[in-house]
Amino acid sequence: MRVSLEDEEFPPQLRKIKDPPNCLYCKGNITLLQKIGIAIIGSRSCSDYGRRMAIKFSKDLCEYGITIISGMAIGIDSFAHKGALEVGGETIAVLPSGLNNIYPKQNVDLYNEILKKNGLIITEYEDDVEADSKKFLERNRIVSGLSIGILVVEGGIVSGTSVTARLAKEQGKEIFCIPSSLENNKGIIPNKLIKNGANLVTDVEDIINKFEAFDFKKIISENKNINCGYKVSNDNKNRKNKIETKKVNDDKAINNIKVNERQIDKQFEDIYNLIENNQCINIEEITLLLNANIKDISSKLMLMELEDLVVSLPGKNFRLK
Amino acid sequence: MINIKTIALTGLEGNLIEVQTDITGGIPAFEIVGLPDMSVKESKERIKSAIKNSMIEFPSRKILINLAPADTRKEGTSYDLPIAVGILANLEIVNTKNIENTIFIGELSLDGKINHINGVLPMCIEAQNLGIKRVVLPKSNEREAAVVTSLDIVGVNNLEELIDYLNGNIQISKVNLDMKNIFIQNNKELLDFSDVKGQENVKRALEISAAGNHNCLLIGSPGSGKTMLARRVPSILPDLTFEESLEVTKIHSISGMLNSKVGIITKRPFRSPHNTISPISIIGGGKNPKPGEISLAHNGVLFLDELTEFNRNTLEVLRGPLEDRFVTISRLYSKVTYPSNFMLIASMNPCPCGYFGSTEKNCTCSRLMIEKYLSKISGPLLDRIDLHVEVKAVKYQNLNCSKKEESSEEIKIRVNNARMIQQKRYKNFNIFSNAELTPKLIDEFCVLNSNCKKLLEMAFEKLGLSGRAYTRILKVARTIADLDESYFIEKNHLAEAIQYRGLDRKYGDKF
Repeated sequence: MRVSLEDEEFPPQLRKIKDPPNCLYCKGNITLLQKIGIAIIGSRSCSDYGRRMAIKFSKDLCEYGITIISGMAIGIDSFAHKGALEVGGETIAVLPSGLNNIYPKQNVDLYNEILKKNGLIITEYEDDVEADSKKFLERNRIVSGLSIGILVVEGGIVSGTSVTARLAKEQGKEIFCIPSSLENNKGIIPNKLIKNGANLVTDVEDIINKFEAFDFKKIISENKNINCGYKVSNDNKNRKNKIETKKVNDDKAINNIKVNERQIDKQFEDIYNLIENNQCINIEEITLLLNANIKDISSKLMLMELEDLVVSLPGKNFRLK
Repeated sequence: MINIKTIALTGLEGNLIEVQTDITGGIPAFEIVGLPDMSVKESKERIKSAIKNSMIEFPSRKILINLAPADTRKEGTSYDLPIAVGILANLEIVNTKNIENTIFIGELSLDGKINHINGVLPMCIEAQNLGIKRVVLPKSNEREAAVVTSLDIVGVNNLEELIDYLNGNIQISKVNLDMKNIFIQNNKELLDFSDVKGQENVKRALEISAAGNHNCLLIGSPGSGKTMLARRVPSILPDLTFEESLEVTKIHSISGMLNSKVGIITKRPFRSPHNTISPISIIGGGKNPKPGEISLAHNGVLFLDELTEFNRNTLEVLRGPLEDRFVTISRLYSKVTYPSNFMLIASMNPCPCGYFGSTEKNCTCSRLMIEKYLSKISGPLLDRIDLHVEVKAVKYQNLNCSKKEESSEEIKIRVNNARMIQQKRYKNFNIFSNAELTPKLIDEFCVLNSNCKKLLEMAFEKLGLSGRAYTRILKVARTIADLDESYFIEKNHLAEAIQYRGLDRKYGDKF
């Protein structure tokens, strides 16, 4: 479906930027164009940390009813979409190509899933246009233009991420960044942006509080532990409840840890504690530090992985789930 | 007319050839018939000179040599000696009685010296089967032939010595090989697993490979020690039995790769061809097919370093031999079967830049690049590799660690033990190790209890293992149980086996 600049359906946020596309070709749930969204951007080759952060924040933002906008590229973009789809959130993918040339091809499955789960695919290009490097940058201006703010997860020193962040700044959007370890060379861009005044994000509330005008409310459907009473739209009450909600959440988190601890089998305790203290540790180091037999460690780690206690990473490294 | 016996080889099989020599009057000539190839035809000149230089007048008459059976092609230089002896016997220079029931093999040089030839061991084994008493061969081949103890082996240096011997003027004593001593002396390995610091995980995987004869793939970043570890695998393999050693020696004998001072190969071979190797040289071939690397690695290890750098065709020809454990090479004039029961150890990087999953350096490859890189190894080939092991570079601190590393000797005891259990179990099934288990035998010997079944189901669901992993996991679990001397496969055995299926898991979810 074609939405042109004059149409009523044209996204109001996008109309405000200085070079809006003349028309958008859309596929899927077109009502999402009117929704308020945040763009999650990052590099194509991301670290495991970036992957987890993209999924986590995408899910968290969806809980506030915010639409996740991204470029459906490999890496952070894909994980942002996937996170949103996982919790049944709304997501918009902006393609750098026509709708007949899905780019990148590996993400055809994701493309179909977005459409199936009531998401939206848009592009400013006609159906048969193919993607090229110039179009990536043009696409990025729409990604940031559609949103009220962008969340930069990871980005290497030479990447489209820095360009998108610059575009967003020119468009007057809020820029949020997830801090990274200094040793992570994919964390250079977000760290640099923070240094230059972007918002440092440690929690999804950091983003929500920045947009008090929009008055985002947490949508709770499955979460039965929390009292639903605060949904009443009273500002003071709302804020108070928000704090309560957070408290409840914290309590819940503590409970969860306790539950987890109880679930851990005696035989796995050593390994569990070791991994917990080291965040990410190699199987060799575990054997060395516990002074144990490799065959026991190896089989225990597999059992722990199957019990969802740990996750194996490339290179036989392990971290807690 | 004189009949001299010799033996020709087709592959590892020997055939009796009769060298018939007839000297008649007429215009002087020297003819060889019976499908000789160039190298056999050329022997005429060598023989002429060798006889002349041994102070014997070469007859100026018509000499006709027939190599019977006359319908098979003859090649090689080992016919020199039987033809020369035939002529000498015709001239009554040697005693014709002494050449009966004797095989002659050897190449002549112009001065009458008898030169080394290839393939003596399989020839002697054939001679033994034919009920021959005595084999006359070059001195340098003597030790190799002495392995066949029931034969009278006569090693001669030159034609004059041979004439004296056949006329009863001198005695040539037989060499005696002290087999036991040779086996003990030469079995000392220079490379030992205790040289490698840390890497417990990889050592364990290689121990399992050796115990069950499983093929193994090492994946790791540059400098993580893949090659170093792989080169030490022969030191933990079970000792060669005499029969196995004969097979290995036969193949090395026809390839001319035998050390004439030792005569028999007592160590398991370790072959590591470079990645530029062609499909023909890896499986064997040529006009008269010669054994390739896989046959030279028979009963030993074939190590393919940097597996992804090998030509795809080269890797794909391995499929058949990996499954059948022999290879049949067909050419226009011959069809040869060579054994190729080897253990494949391969190594590769996890991605084009080599540092995916490494904590030392950051990987610069995109997901697409990695997928493309991994797809260089075809599914069917991966299907034949039981263990995938990720090797990680050891940090400097660990290198200084004072913990004493286990020696190969200690690991070998466990390996030998596990092999013994397998041999006992499979003695009625004509297989020797867990790697050779057929689907039917897996059902019989790799029985899982309900607990294990549940675990395996969970693993398939959670880790996204591909279907082909199923039998591999069972086989490896069986070997782990054997190393534990456990009759049943327990939960921990199975869990460890699943740990070694890295490449079957969706690599994608790690990005």
